[in-house]
Amino acid sequence: MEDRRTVDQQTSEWIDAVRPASDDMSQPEFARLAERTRRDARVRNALQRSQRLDATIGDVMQDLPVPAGSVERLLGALEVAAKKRAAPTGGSTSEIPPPAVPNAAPTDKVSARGASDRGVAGRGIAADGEVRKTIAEEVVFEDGERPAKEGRAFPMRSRAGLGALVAVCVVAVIGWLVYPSSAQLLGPDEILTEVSLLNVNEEAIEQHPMNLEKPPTGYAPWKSLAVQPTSWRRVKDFLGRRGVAYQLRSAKGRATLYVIDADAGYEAPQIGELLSQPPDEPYPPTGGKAMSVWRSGKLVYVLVVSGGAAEYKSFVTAGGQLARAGASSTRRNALFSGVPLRLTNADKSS
Amino acid sequence: MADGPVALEIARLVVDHHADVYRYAYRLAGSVADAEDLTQQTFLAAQVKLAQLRSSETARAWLFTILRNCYLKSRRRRAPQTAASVELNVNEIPAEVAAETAVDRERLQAALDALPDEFKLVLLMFYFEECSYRDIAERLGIPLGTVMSRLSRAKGQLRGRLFELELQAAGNRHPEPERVPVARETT
Repeated sequence: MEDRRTVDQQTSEWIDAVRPASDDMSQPEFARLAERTRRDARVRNALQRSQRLDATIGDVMQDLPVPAGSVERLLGALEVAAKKRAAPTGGSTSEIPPPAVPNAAPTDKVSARGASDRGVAGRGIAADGEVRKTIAEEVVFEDGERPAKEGRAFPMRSRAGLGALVAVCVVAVIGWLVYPSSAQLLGPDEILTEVSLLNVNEEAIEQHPMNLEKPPTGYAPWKSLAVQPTSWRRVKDFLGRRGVAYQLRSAKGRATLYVIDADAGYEAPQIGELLSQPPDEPYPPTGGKAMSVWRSGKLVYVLVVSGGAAEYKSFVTAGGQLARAGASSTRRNALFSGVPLRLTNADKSS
Repeated sequence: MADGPVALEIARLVVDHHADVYRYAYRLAGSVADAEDLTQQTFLAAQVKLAQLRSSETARAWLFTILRNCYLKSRRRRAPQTAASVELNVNEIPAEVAAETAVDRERLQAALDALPDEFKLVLLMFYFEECSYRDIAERLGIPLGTVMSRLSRAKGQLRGRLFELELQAAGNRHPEPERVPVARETT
């Protein structure tokens, strides 16, 4: 009855790979399928039905209204985040502010402006400056710290309070100069996201062969790697830090080991808590890379392996040193989940 | 204060791509609140990484990559996803019915929500980003054969779910197809 069921699995897979309204069928890899559609009516019918359904699904995928006011809320949140980065404070512990979900009043204000789903993005930026300001105020001053709008003379009893305020400000400035904002601590997620977004093609960068030129001192590769580096290059700016990137090769593939300064001075975001040894399992692979990050003393190590967990283990487990048995998965999951984790004495001494 | 040129550039990105990013986020997350949250995370990350964006032509794909990463990161923080119910013999479902039936927006989302992440990602890259199977393989870093297999199985499950939901909506009585466990793909 149904042509799809009489089509073999391999042909079915090729049919499913053809994009609707595309020139895929004219591509060399689809030549066999194209030939079969010419010769076999069942394959031709199956392809045509698949294409029709795919076109319908594709249209419905895009058929979705955008909530009113979402652009304004987003712009407000971006503005808040930019201000926080520009002027560090000691208050927030999160680098990214929570979603600026407005209460009923601002939403109603935005909706009352009659912004359509499709029209907001196009005409909302300049025209809705007042709305943006309203939402931004709600977000920036969500803790109730609204500035005084009218100047007033200070009564005598406020002078002591003013002195205390000045003292607090001086301490805050000193703290800002000496200690970085806690809002900018970098954890495993942030570091690995930075690496994944770097999208560096190491093979396109000039490398120094290990047997011809030694890397700079102070950035030795991890002592217990299963394979030794074949080449290296300098890293001038990795999250504001310097270091060395080593190229590794195993029987299963390639990897890059970044050895980076943990400290970067007071201007760059500081490194938060990390594992003290390479974990036996990588961070869940993404973008074709299996990665992990750990810290030992004054150095942070980031291992980026092309492939998945199997390839990762060829660089760490075969003769390499594993994380402490029984604790590695728990610690890794806790760190990656953001659950507070106390440093042990072993960690502090590493 | 935020840097003027950067602020303008990110605002332009928002104006040009917010709707697409939101819709993609909704198809991934399945709810308005989660979609807005994901969209915000995406643009916040983009704001920080703006220097990596080389040209406006690649902005959409770049934002979608950030979005996928944000989504996967949010999924990793949650409880491990149990294997989706794949006890569905898609070969027992008439392809003719699925092909001819108008696809309802809500039913499509319900069908997507029932899929495991690895299937959902390749489906959305195929339908939403209109990626070829080669593009999907390159961007996700998985073999071509895996992409083809995964895409075919994902589309089969999607069709099956849409068919099931259509029957439920119509209130028809239909003998349940024999449910044969499908071997889970290993990578």
